[in-house]
Order: sequence, then C-alpha cells, then structure tokens
Amino acid sequence: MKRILCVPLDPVHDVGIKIIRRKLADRGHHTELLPPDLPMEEVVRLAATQPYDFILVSRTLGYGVAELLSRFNDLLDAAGVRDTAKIVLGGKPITPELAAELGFDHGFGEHSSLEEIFAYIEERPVTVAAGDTRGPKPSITAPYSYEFRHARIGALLETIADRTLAWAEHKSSPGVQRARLRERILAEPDGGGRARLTAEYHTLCEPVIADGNRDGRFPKGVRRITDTELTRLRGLLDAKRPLHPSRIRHTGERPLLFKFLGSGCPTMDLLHGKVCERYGIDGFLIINPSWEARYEGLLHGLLTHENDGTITSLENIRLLRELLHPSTLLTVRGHRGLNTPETVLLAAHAGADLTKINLVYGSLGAGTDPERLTVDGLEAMRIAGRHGMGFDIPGNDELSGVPAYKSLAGQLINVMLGKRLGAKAILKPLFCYGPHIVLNGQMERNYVDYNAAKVRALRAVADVPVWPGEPIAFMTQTEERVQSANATSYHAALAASAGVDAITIASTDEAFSRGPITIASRIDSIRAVTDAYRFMGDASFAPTAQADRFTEEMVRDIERTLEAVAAQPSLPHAINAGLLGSREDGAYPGTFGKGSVTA
Amino acid sequence: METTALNAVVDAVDIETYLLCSDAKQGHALALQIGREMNLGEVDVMFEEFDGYGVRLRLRKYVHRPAQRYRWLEQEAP
Amino acid sequence: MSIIGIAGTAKNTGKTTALNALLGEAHRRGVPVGVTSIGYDGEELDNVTGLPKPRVVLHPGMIVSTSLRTLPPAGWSVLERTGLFSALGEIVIARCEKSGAVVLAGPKTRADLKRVTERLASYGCGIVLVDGALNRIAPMPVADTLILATGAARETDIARLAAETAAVASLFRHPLFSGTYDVPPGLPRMLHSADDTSVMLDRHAGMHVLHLPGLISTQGWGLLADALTRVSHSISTIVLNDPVALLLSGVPSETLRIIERLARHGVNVSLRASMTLGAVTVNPFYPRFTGTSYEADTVDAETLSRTMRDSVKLPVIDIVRDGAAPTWEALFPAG
Repeated sequence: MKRILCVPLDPVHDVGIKIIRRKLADRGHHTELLPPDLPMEEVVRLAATQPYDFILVSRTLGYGVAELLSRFNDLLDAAGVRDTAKIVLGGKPITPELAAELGFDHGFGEHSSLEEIFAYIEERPVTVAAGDTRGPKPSITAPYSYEFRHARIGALLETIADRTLAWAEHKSSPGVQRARLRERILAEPDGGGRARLTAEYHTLCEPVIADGNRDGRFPKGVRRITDTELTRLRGLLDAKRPLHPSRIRHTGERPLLFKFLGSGCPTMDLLHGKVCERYGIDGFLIINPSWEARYEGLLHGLLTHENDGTITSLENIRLLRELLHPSTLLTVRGHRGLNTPETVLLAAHAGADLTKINLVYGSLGAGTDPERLTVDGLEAMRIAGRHGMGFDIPGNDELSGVPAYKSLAGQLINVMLGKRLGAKAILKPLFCYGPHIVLNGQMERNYVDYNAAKVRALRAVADVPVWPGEPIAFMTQTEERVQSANATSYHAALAASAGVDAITIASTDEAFSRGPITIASRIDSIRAVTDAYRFMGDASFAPTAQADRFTEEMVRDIERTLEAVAAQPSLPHAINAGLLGSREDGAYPGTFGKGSVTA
Repeated sequence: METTALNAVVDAVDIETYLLCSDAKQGHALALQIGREMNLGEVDVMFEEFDGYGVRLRLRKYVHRPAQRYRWLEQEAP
Repeated sequence: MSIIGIAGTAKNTGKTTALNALLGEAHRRGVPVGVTSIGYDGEELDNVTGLPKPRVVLHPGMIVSTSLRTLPPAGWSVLERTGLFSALGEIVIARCEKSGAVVLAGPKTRADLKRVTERLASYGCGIVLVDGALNRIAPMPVADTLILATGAARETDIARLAAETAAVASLFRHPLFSGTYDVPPGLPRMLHSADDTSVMLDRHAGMHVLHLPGLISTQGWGLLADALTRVSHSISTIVLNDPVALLLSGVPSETLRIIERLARHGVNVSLRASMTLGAVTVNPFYPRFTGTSYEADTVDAETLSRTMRDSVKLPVIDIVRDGAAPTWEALFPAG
C-alpha cells in the first residue's frame, strides 16, 4: 500500500488524474486528491505535512509551464518532500526526456498504459511488455469441430465429396506432377540430383517460365532483387522499431484483421507490412500476379515485379515470413490457377500459415478449367492437410454476378472436401454490394441484413470459421478517401458484431485501379476500423426481421443447390452444368489447362 | 544520395483539395494544372466531384512505384 | 575539489553555452573534470520550444554522470552504476574516450546530486561541473560556487532583468550564522499561511533564533514580517539553510525588500551554509512566442552586458561575445 497525493496542477484538465486515482484506490493504495488549480506553494505546504510515497501531478503544457513545473520540483526538494516522495508527472505530451529535464522522477504520457503506471508505483516490473501489443500467433481453425449442424446439407456434401473424390481418383495433371517434383527437389541436397530434377521440372513448364528460371529471361516487368537492395532492406527494417504499436480491436480477440500485400515488390510489401503491423494488423494475404495462375510452372528466386501481384516464389514468401513479426499470419493464395498444389507446397515450406483454395471460384471466376482445378485443388488440400495449414475459400464468384447462396454452396463443398483430405477450411462469405444483390434489391433498405444473413446461414449449417472478405465492403467503396475508409469501418463493425473470426480490409485506394496502393491509404482504413471498434466496443448491430427471412431463404437455397450438385457425377460436371453459377449469372467455366488432366 | 523529402516518400503524394471553378471540365483541367504548378508533373485525378461551386479533388503523384529503385532505401541505409 | 553549479533563470538563458565554455577551458588547460546535469541537456532541439539548442561537447578523459540510456553506443567506458535513477533510467559514471556531443540526464534531487558529485570526485576530478535545468536551483547548494545564466529569455526588459539579477546577487551575500541554537520539533517545512506563521512563532517562544527548516514563500515572508514587526517577541535572527532557500521564496526583489524591512526592526537573516555566486553570464537570445510557435530573436547585446555589469557588481560575461576564457578566470583567478 502506497500513500499517494494526486495533484491536478491545472486549471481545467483533471479527468485523467481522477481516473488514475480511482484505479489506484481500487488496488488498495491510500490516495488523496487535491482540488484543481491550487497555488503551487499551497500544494507544497500540503505535500509537506505527511510522508507521501508518491506525488502524482497532472498538467497540460503551454507557455511558461516548463518553468512552473521546474519550480514546483524545486520547492518540493527544498521543503524536504522529496526525502520520501517520488514526484511523477502525467499529461498528454509528456515524454521521459521532458520529465527528466523538469526534474521529475518519472513521466507518463499519452502512450503510457495504466499497467505501466501501476507497475512504477508498486515498484514491480511491467507484466505486459510495454508497447508490445502482439500476443502469440492466433489460430483461426482450432476452435472449430467441422461438424455439420444441418443434417441434410451435411449428407448432401458427403455424397458430393464421395463422387468427386471417386471421379478424381487416378487422375493427374502437370500441376500435380510439378508439385511432386518440387517436393523431391526441396528434399534433395544441392548438386547433381537437384539439377536433374530441376531440368525435369522445366519440361513440365511453359517456355516463358522455363526460360526465366534457366537464364533469367523473365516475363516483362520482372527482375531479380539485387543483393544491395536486400542488404539495405534488412538494414532498414533492423534499424526501425514500431513506436507505440496500436490495437485495432477495442474488446475481445476477434475478428483478426487481414490486409492484402501484393504490390509486385517484396521490398515495398515488407515496408507496408511492417507499418501495418504497427497499426495492429494481424495477418496478410499475399496476392500474386494474375498471369502466374495461367502459366504452367512457377518462377524461382527473389523476384520483384512492376505490376500488380507479388510473385509467390519460395524465396519471396520466405523473405516476407522472415521479416514480418513472428505472430503475423501469412496466407498465400493458390486457389485459382495451374500451380495450385505447388503454390501450397511452397507456402508450407516457406512458413506461411494459411493458403487459399476454391475449386468452384477458381473455375468460374478465374478462368481455370473445372476438371483441371478439381484435380489440382484436391492435391493442394492434401498438401495443406499434411502441413497442418488451414485454407480459406474466397467467395469472389459473387462479383461476377453469382448469387450468394450458390457461392456459399460451392464454399461448403470445399469445406467437406478439405475435411475428407485432412485440411481445415475457412468460409469466406463476401461482404459486398455484388451485382446479384444490386439487381435483386436485397440491400435496398440497408447493407446490414443481407451481410448478417450470410454469416447466420453459414453458422446454422456448419461449425466452421467464418472470415468475410475479400475485402469487406467490396463495391460499396468509391475513390473518395473518407467514404472509402468509412465504408470499410462500417462493414468491419458489422463483421465484429456478427461474431466472425477474421476479416480482410481494404485501403482507401480500393476503388482506384490506375496505380498501386499507398501506405497512407492503408493507414487511413486501419484507423477508420480502429475508431469504429472503439465506438462499438462490445455492443452490436441489430439487424431487422428481414435478416431472419434472408437467413432462412439462404439456407433453403443452399440446400436446393446442393441437391442439384449431388445429382451430378462429380463437382466438375456440376460446375460445367452451371449449377454453382451459370452463364445467366455471369459465370463461365474457365478454359486454362483444358485437356491437361491425365488418367 | 541527397536527402530530400520526395526521396523519402515511400510511394506517392496525395493532394486533397477543393478548387473553385465554373464547371466539371474546367475543374478537371485545373486539377491537372495544379500538379504541374506544384512541380509534381502529371498527376492522377483519383476523385473529382463538381458541385456547382467548385470541385472536390483527390490527386496523386507516384514517387516510387513497385520494383523501381527506391531512393528512400538508399538514403536510409547506413 | 571544487563543484561549480550552472543555474539558469529560465530556459535558453545560456547554461549549455557556459558549460561548454568551462569544459573547453578545462580541456585546454588539462584540468581533470567531471560533469553531470540535474535535468536533461544536450538534445538537438528544445523539448518545449522546438528550437535548435547548443549541444554539450565532451573530450577524452572527462568523467560524466548520466542515465545509461543517453550514452552514445560507442566512445564510452562505464565505470560504475550508481543505483540512482532519473526519469530516463539508471544513472552511471562513465569516462569519455572519444570527443563528441552527449546528452546529459543526471540526478534530479539535492540528495542524489550530493552522492553523484562524491562519486565523480573519487575518480580524481579536480572540478565537477553541474549543469542546471531550466530555472531549477534546489539541488545547487551541493555546489561551492554558482554561475547564474540569465538573459532575454528570462526577461526582455533589460533594466528589469538587471534589477532582478542584482537582487539575486544580494541574496547570496547574507552572512553565515556562526552560533548554536535549539531547533524545536514539528516545524512546518513550507511557511506559507497564517497558521504556519503562528505555529512557527509558538514553537520559538522565548528563543532568540528562529529556524526555518525548509522554505518560506513570498506570502510567508509577508506574514512573518507582519507578525515580527507588530507583536512583541524575543527573535533577533532568522536562520535559513542556504541562499537557495531565499531564492526559492519567489520574487527576489520582494524577498529582499521584506528582509530589509525586518532588519529595520532588529531582525536579521542569516544562513547555515553559504554559496558563492561566482559570475553572471548573459544571453541576448530569446525564443519569441508568436501565439502558435517560437521564433529566435535577440535584445541588444551591448546594452545587456553594460547594464548588467553596472547593477550586479560581479563578473558579467556574454560568452558568445567575450569568449570562454573570462568565465574560467572569474571562477579560478589563480589560473
């Protein structure tokens, strides 16, 4: 128990010191509070009447205040108060340097935590490391059983999985073969064996990839990162530390907050990533160039790229993993092209935590042949399962005009396939104003009910994590900075209110497509979400009764869709038949890799 | 490497402003002109909205694009 | 060993310039020197005004006492940890191995400063320099001699500044009390109110020496003088600890006026410990507050020096104009 005198040496501001006094009293200390704005000599006189352990002074700075506070310490020293008491200054702009200059024993400013103040007064170490707001690495999938609560939908998914796995049995593709070769290359020590396997790998690649890997003739806009650039990047990141790292969530530990990284350049991504970590971002999705999905084979090495999308080579992912915070979650997308299994394998070897696989969207929204992506995707799920990696299932097929229930039905098929192959999936309903919604008016009255209904419907069907994306507020954002940040923050608040596990948030450049995303725009959106979470705290949105009707409809439509898919011989048959997104919806089965599946 | 403010810009400089003008066309022309007058050269007009009085603008000049030589990496390095 | 304190009357009055002058002279003359600060000094920009400041420059062999955190990464040997703390962490004693600028953050109280100067002396420092902070002076009685840095940053009206400094100088000239006396128990350590005054007088009933153990405010002086000039009592001497206790009362000219009034009624003020005011340094620079920020400005340097010399009857030095040597010679006339 310490004897503490609280002195609001300020004409106006005494709220802060009143709060601290109450909390110190709650902790069992003897506290006294003087009225605000007493003459300094009177304060010294009172302080000298009893042997206090601490005199806590609050004061805002202004013209002449430094001299005033210095004199205050002089008076306390000469009056003998400092023989027993430590004198502590608190106020918004107070730094340790300023406290030292003014002669205080200690100073606390706007970035000090209550814990730091208590620890100082109670003469013990701070139990939560000051400034480090990042805890251990969280798991999105661990809390879930992957049981299906909706028995009929569960049974339909079992049937679809049985048929699809049977269809894919004994089928292979260049993508599957390259992943297996890559696994052998990774296990092979440097030398002749590796060179021979690499040569074999290149026979399974398109020339543009093989040429790049063999003699550095890379596709346009791609070049190696130089040793100098790498040394300077490490030096830069090593020399800098986050100052007063902040938290985005005000209460609780969910949702986790993700951002895309994919400027094209790992150096730029890392600088953006480190700054985002400082602002409280929990994880990143590395977005690769769209052409990477369309060529057979992957480029190797530390590579930078002038256009959108960072090349997800082993070396690039490793660099990101090495230089980002150990608790930061890293997701590598492999869901939509001709290199899905190998990408997942490289992600696992580079230390990424999660990957992205969606057999349906990859076929309908990203242009890969359904048969090829099914064969490759199943292999990718096996690899993810072997390495204990979860995978998320982006629902971006909604952006082409596919109705939400079809997108969600497709995602649930991926969940069941993953479960069968040992990989834990994460559902990703889109929080968006998608074309089907615009045409059918589900969001005419508000943006809340329909987005809430998607989460509710999925929760009613299965015990699986839900991570709205991608990013949230898709198609509600404009190029205007404030509107964009606000749209993101409202959707983030809704997602938190709906109890989801994670969200992906955009920058205020989301609607701007003519240049790379800037760090300032990222910070703006994060700040907006942080502010929304402060505002919401543990309160929640109240969707209208319409949300219940949307939920019922959505579950019924998912069931109806899956009935139709289950009647087909396999998933690729269902996709080609338009059951998970039709031409009328705006979805066309892709053609990349058509005819490349082998028996 | 000369330490300049623009060399230290990680990616881009945004200009947020409001210009008085007679119509959207003039607003757009002024938007482009402001970049030149500020010695930034050609700027991207990210957002422009004429409201009858003037135009609300968000302009951008990229200083460092991905995969370029980043002058901040050179002037920061020990 | 001689301990020199450098006190300022406000921020930006030239403490660091005076300190650098003495450090430079000590280096030039080969005198082993120790240095510390009762605040935080040597930073590039002022913590309050944001204006550039002179930096403290040390030379090899100089012993310094500062917070470990403020020492540059190289060019130092830490000789010992003191177990004393500033707001920036533990204070250490270190030896400078390489010339360079340093930030000083040393002991903040009189008791801590005494410990630190003893430790510095143990490393053979013939002179220990104690850098002040802003207008702080309470720890300075640890020093034998004080340099007062004042100037336009304190007051831009030169006549008023000179008058104030003259009053300060006279407060240092009070005689030392040589006799003995009894100290009654339970005396207020800050004499500020009418209650404090009556307690003080009650406790000293029938005694000739009134002992003021801590501080007395300007208001306290007024109340005490009123009591001692209006009611009958046996007090002939008031004893305070040191000149700093007089300075801390408040406005020096006001304190001086009351002391003179008491003297006319046969009550004299004496000190238990003396301290020499060795020199006054003047600085024409001041940060002019524009309402939103500070700008550098100056008063006329020639007028400032001349007016000050006429008033204080002590060596007055404008280090920027007069150079470093006169300050050293004012403190150590023998060389």
